Amino acid sequence: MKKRILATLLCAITVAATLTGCGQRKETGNEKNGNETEITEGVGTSFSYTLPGKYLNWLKDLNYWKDIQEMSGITVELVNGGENDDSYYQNVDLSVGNGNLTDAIIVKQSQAAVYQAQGAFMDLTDLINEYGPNIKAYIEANPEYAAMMTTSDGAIYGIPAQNPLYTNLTFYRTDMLEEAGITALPTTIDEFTDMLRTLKKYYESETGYYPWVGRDSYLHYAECFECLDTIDEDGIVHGIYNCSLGNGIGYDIYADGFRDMIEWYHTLYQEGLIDPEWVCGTSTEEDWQTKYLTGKGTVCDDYFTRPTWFMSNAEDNSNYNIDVMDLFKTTSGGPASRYQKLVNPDRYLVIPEGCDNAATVIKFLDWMFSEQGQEVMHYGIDGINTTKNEDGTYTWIADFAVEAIKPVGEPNIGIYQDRLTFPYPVDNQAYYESLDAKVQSYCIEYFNQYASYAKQIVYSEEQAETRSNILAKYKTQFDSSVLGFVRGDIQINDDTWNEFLERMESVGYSKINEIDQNAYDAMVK
Amino acid sequence: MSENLYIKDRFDIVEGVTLNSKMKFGQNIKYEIKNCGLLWLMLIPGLVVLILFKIAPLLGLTIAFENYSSFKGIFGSKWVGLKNFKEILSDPYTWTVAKNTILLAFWTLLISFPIPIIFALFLEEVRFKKFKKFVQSISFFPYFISVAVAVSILCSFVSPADGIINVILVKLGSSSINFMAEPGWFRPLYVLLHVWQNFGYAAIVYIAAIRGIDPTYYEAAQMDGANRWKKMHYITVPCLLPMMITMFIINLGSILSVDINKVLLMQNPSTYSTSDVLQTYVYRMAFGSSGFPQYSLGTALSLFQSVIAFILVIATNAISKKISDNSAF
Repeated sequence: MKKRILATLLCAITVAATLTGCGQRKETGNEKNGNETEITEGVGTSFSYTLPGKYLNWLKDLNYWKDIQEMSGITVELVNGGENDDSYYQNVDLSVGNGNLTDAIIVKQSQAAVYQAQGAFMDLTDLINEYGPNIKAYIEANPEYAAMMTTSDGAIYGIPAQNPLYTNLTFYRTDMLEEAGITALPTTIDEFTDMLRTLKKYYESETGYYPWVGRDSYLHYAECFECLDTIDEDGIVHGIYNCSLGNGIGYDIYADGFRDMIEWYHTLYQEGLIDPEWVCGTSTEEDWQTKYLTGKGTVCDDYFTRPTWFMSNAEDNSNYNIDVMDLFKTTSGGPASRYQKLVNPDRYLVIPEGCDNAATVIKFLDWMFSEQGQEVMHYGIDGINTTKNEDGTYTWIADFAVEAIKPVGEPNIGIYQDRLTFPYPVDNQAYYESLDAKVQSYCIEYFNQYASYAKQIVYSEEQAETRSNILAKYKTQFDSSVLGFVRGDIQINDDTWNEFLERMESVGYSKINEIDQNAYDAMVK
Repeated sequence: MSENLYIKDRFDIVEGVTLNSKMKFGQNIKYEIKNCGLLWLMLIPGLVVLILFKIAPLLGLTIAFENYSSFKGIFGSKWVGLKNFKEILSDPYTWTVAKNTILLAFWTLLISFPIPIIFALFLEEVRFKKFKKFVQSISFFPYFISVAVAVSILCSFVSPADGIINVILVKLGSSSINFMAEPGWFRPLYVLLHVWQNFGYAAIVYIAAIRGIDPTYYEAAQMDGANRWKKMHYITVPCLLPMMITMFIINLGSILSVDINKVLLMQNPSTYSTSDVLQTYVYRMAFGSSGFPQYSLGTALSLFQSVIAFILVIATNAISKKISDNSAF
């Protein structure tokens, strides 16, 4: 009898423990029905905000985080939605499904558009009209920004964060060039190739040395070969549009320059002028950093603050010095340009339907768009981050070189407009001034000369879905086919090139281009 | 005695004929609870877990027939019937990745299936017990290494710059090979890694089966003058055959499955022609970082995969039953 009682008890405990994780969906408002709720009258004093864990930790370290909340009169409870970007956005999908959403949440543009259409997120138009005069004024003054957050029927589905204007740039080891006897910097692709050859010859005894090393996609300088994805003056989309970033996806494969570019990379690969592990995709970011720090590479084309990072981490080598070279001219002799997206498509702030604190969220964001808010986000707190001079300029107290490398958890007085916090208008001049002296010495001139914002396209739910499906197979076919040419597995001639173009068509190149064109036409209509 | 009574009581077996037990169903239940109640009680938590976490989630396969939205949920999403399946099956690229998947799984099965058997057979022939235990333990360790670490170890070994394999190749006068970038090397490296990680674990089943063989068979064979090879050939292997067939049928069910973690970590643009498989294609479609996740398409492809695997397992089981009287079920 005792055994029976004990066994029954243990069984019940085990079953209960098993079922502990099960829970009911928390209903919040009418999101299941998709009905619009009435706007909550009155503004509260706090709201909850979900963003990726990395940015949450950085935000908490900022000295002006508390000041922002005091000045706006609104307390923000930060919620970690997931550590890395991929898992964060997957968690967003799950949260939308189970209704477990905070008052404000960062989502991707595609998620914002699709879920808003289905009734999960609020249309912010009325809220902005009532509680966001600064936001409204900014939207009206910036129609391109407005286009990125408005549906075809005029609903505003989210407020996107902006990117400061920056691009990759080409940097090199000055000491290695000096040793190799290179005195003039290249201005064209051909001169660049010759420079790589000179470096290769000089350092050929070094095991594992390749003049040009890098990470991620190796297909750089498409702008110099005039085969980037673009939208021309007539509004025609060329290539698979990726905001003219190229970046392994967006190229006009029918441009003559594209074949020239692939043939150039083939030459670089065959002559050992470019890291083959990088080209083949078997190299990691850590491998690249190690190679560049240990002199196994001389030239990189990467994120503009990387020169500072490398020099900070090469303290043992007093000769280690890096400088930046100008962007090469196009193959037709004209100036080339690099592009950046103004609106970050992965950082849209949305408010769930039925949220009781919607007005509070919009009030807070409106403060971000106000003059006071922008001043804090661009220049920080007077006397701590910067000092405001009588003529209206600012003297920087925070040293980027010191603040940027502080570990997470340590108070930070840096200003980081490129890090996700909240949506607000960026100030490029303030952004450049916030950087360390070394970076400022080259980036302001470089970006003023070569960088600009690209046109951006917003897709409908159906377009986003179809495009995503086609890209899933297009990208792999494109990567492997191009790599086959670069490595010499496939000889580049007219026949093989036509086969390549046919293969790209068969996996959807023109379909994606058509979607991009239709989406762009709908935006500018 | 009581056991016989129990059997007689339940089924009233008379002259080998079992009476219709349905007539005594209610009595059977009472009898079971009275005599085996504790056993049934022990079974309940496992049954609850099985139903809640294994069987009930199968209802989620419905999203393969819908245009699924996380927000609308299973019951709110639009029903599209076989549209997702048509879209997948009419896509020529699906058959390309299916071919890669089958080839990869085929080679994995072909190489990794016999190795644990051979290892178990020879290990059991080792007389020095401490050495036998040591080898078995060592063979088991790789199973606990995470896939990411295992792939890192592999990459270190075959690195074109300073990997041990290429160092030896260079010393022998050959040029170094970037194994991880050669599509032709993807399958051998995948199979090698799979075998290294799993053969020790898989061998446990066969070692247990070998140890379960009646020792009197070996004694009889010893008296008939059989040497170790003959004992292995005429006793061990035939006694292992039912287990081998069962394991083969179970493994065949995964003919369209590969270890996606391993493939994703080993995969790079150089090897897409051989490394892009159904699972990675589904992963990109369902969770690709660009655009909106397509759970419906991903589920449809997975369901298609599962149906094929199911048919294969049933067919193989039936063939095995017919040919050898051995089957998994």
